[in-house]
Amino acid sequence: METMFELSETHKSFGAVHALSSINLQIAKGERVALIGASGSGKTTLLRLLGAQLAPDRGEVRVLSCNPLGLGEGKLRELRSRLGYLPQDLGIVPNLRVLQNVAAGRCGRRSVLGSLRDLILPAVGVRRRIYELLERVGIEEKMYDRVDTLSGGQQQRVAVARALFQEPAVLLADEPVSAVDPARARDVLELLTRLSAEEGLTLVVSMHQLDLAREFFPRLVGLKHGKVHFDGASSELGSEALSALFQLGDKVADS
Amino acid sequence: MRVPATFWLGKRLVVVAFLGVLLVSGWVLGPRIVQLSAGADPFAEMGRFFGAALSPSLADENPSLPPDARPFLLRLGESLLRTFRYALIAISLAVPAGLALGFLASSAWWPGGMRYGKASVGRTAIRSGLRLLRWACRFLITLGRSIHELVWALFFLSALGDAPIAACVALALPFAGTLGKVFSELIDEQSQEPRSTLMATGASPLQAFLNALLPSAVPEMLTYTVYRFECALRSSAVLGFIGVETVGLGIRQSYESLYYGEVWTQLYALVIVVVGVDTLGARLRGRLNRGATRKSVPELSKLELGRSEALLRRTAPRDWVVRGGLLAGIMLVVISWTNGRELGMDMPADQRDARIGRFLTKLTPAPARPENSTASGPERMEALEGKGGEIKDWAVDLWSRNGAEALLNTVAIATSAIVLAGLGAALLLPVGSRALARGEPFGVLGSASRWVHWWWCGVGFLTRSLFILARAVPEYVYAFLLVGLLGPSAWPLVFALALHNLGILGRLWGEVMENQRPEVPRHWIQSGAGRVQSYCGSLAPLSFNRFLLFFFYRWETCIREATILGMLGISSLGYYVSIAHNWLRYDEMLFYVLLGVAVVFAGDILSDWMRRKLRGEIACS
Amino acid sequence: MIKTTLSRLSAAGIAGLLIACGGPEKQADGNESEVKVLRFSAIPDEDTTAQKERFQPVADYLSKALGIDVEFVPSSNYGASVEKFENNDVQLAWFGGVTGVQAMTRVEGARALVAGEKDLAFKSYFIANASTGLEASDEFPAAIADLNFTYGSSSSTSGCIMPSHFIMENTGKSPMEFFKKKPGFSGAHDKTAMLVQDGSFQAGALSFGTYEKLVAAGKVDPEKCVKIWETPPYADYNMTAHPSLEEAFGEGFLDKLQKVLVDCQDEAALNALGRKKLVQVNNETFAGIAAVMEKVTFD
Repeated sequence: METMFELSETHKSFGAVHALSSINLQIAKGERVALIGASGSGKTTLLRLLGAQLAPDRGEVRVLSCNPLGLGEGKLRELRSRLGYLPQDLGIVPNLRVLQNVAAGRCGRRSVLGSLRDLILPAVGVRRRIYELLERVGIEEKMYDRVDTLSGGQQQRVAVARALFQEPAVLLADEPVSAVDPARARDVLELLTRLSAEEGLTLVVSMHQLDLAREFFPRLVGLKHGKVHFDGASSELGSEALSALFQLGDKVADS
Repeated sequence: MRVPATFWLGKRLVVVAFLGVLLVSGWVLGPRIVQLSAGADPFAEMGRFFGAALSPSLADENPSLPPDARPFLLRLGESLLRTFRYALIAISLAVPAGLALGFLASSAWWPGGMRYGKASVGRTAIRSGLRLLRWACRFLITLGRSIHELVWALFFLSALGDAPIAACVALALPFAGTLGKVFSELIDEQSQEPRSTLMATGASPLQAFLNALLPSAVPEMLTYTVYRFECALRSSAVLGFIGVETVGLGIRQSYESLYYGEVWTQLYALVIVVVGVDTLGARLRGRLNRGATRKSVPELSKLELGRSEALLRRTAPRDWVVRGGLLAGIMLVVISWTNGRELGMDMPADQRDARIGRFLTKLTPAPARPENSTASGPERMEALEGKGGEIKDWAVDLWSRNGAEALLNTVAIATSAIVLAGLGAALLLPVGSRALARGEPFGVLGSASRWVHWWWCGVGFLTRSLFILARAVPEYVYAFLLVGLLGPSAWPLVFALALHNLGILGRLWGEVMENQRPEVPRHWIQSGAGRVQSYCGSLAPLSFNRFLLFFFYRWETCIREATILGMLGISSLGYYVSIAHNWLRYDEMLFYVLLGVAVVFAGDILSDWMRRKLRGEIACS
Repeated sequence: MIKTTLSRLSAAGIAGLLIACGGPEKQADGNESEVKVLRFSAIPDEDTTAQKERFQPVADYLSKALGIDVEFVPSSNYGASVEKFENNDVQLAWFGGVTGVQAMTRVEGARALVAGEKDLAFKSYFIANASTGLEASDEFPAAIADLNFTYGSSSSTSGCIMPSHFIMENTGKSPMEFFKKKPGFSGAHDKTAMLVQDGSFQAGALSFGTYEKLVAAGKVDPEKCVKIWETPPYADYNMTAHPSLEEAFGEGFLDKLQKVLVDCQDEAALNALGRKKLVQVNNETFAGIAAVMEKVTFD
């Protein structure tokens, strides 16, 4: 099976703070992985390393079988355009319409003028494709509405649609269910897992709700203080190991 | 329990310091407010002036006009149209320039792509070059802003003659600077999340900027541009005081000939136009910020893909008022460029060069002037060589005789004016606030009597109208009238600046207060506090940082205005600028103007620093 | 469908707009030889409202008498009128003494053509508010040194330069040294009179013509606003012409213009200039002013 991500002995620090130490990780195509850990354990940093947004201080990172360090500007952008990213704050532009936000997902593959065209006057084909996409996430009737008139859950779907519009090989989501109530959290995770199954996407999601993680993700990677505490199928892991992740009183590293 | 020493640091110190500055400025400027002498009867003239307010003339008061001259109201209408037209042209020049400068001067634009690992040497070099470009743009912006449009106009009109385009460009330059500065700040203040997300998924920095950063800044940029147009209207009117044929010229001429009725008619007309534009602009701005609302959700389930998408598109919420307004604006700009008296842009090249050459000669300091007034560049450099010492002596002479005192006076005038304005606004604010000045402040059940409610509404309305009117009249007009009535000293200038800025601070601070979360003051009132107590104890401290932000912003502007107001005849820098201009000694005029630039630059840096500190505090709180 | 309707509407709107615009009103440049217009201006020394309307009769008279288009261009202050003349924006101007000399020095070949009859023996009056207790006398009133004093415009011959010259002659000090309190500038003769009458300033200097006109019109009360001294006579106002007129309208045009002005009997035109009759002059008439301008310093 194709390896999507490969990290060997990766370290990353921000100044005096060690965000990640000695990470060894491999993720194959089609896998659904949940990164769990307390806040400050390095989940976001790890995701950003996977997304080729940060370079490690030591060790090697291979994304989609390339080492991003050796790539030139254009190739790096091409690599990134194959990685879908859902940040915690969603990163959507509130005063633009849903259509325009989703269309921005394809910037990586378009020229400057092309992406401007998509912003101001998208072609019919583009509009239809986005409509289909929005149907799949369930908010097609909001296509021409301003994003700031939507509810939080709907805005999240916009971000998902934008990521999908990229036609990525991987979907990386940073704490998509941290600030939502349990019912909505299930909706989001169902959506993500369904889409990843339909498209054959590799899905890496960071979260701190253990029960949801166990329910939706076959593989769990636990992080504590920037180190991999365990890595394995969620059915194999016992509850003591899991709760050791969240023990209070331990020092927490800034992430 | 003893009060710790740090109690007195920070904001209390700031307030005390400003009051102290006011006292010092008062001492510098001299205690005599009314510079009139014994036996004078100032109230007679003032009485006549304000008396005419109730009976503004509708016809010419000048008896020596021939009977077939065009009527007064017609001339007034024409000059208002011209004022409007020049303001439109100036804004249409300033906006593109401001956009370009704003983009280049913002720091969000440059940091470049998402770096992976170490940057290459080439990239670092490009980045340093771009940083230099950014500093150059910031410098240009401050330079454009630090010279008042009146002074630019004096220079351009002298260099190029009466062409209206000279006046419009003179207006456009400082406005381009202000727009550039505000645009760059707006761009920098936007959330960077959308931009970095786009770059994380492969967009180039330019794409991320255009697709994520810029669209989020556009509504505020549009809003500010509409506001700037209103300012341009007022500045265009003020240009009349130096001879451009806008409303200000008529006001000045009527006042000098003592036709007070005419003065009031023109003042009323100006205020009506300005307030009208302001109201329209406010409506437009409100709608820009809100966005369009969807009226109905179409029924999509039965349609196939293509048709349902098209249906959605057709029913997409669009704000026709905003679109109509913007289209109307563009059409108005086109009309102003193509109609009316010719702008004077097609002067023959040799004539223009000769004029500019003559003007440059007059600008060079007297010791270093070339013999021939249309000398070429190298000849001018030759004349300059070796004259360094003489030029220095000339400059030192001007400085010691007039420059230093004028500089001090300018700063004193500006600072005391803004402190007075701040005091006035702070006192009037609770009475003008929509939330407080009503029968039921903050929605808490108050007095049951309807009279109380009407009383408070009335008081609030009057106060807010006072702010609007105070803002609508340009500072220069206030100063002109006050100097005429109180005699030529510094205090009429202070009052003029203070009055105008009272209106501005009242409005800005009022908006801050109304945007505050109402929970805390409501809590005070529910616990039995009075309105004033609630204001002093909760609203004012909550908003203090933002108040200071606007305070410093207006202080900068006051410094710029104070350098100009001296042209009305008292010793601030403007006085010497206008004397030199009258005597056609442009080299001296340039010296004093540059002094003014230095003051504004310094004030800008200080104010910027304070505001960054305050913003940091606000962001942390 | 809405989209096409809209685009049609906006296209129609824009087309209509451009048709309605009709292009700018063309103003002929005086230097072009196709359309010849003579432009003239005047210093705004008094009665400045609606200058263009006031001087229209002069334009009409000259237009009729010379058979060409004549237009008046207002100037907002003294310096502007000299600049316009220098840049050939106007080819003829009704100048004061100082401004006339400035024009004659800056433009080679500029010729002073005519002046009012009374302008050859022009005088300034020093006036004071009655509360100062000063009275008319033949001696120079050195007492004004302690008073709040105002000039007219800082480039005015009768309102500033000549009074300063006489101050220097009579006291040996420059005006800034002479006056204890910095003098102000009212900007115009009639404004000086009103300010002194009110007491906003205690004393001032202005042209004799304006003072007498204001007294005659009842606007100034000679009891309240007292004339305390009269300066010796000097030459003041003049109508000066730019040499480019010879090129534009042919040789001998300046002489023709001069004759037309001297012969002027049009009441409306003479009223606009405020003179009863115009007489011939030349540049030398104002040599005295030129000499004074070299000597008078201001700050």
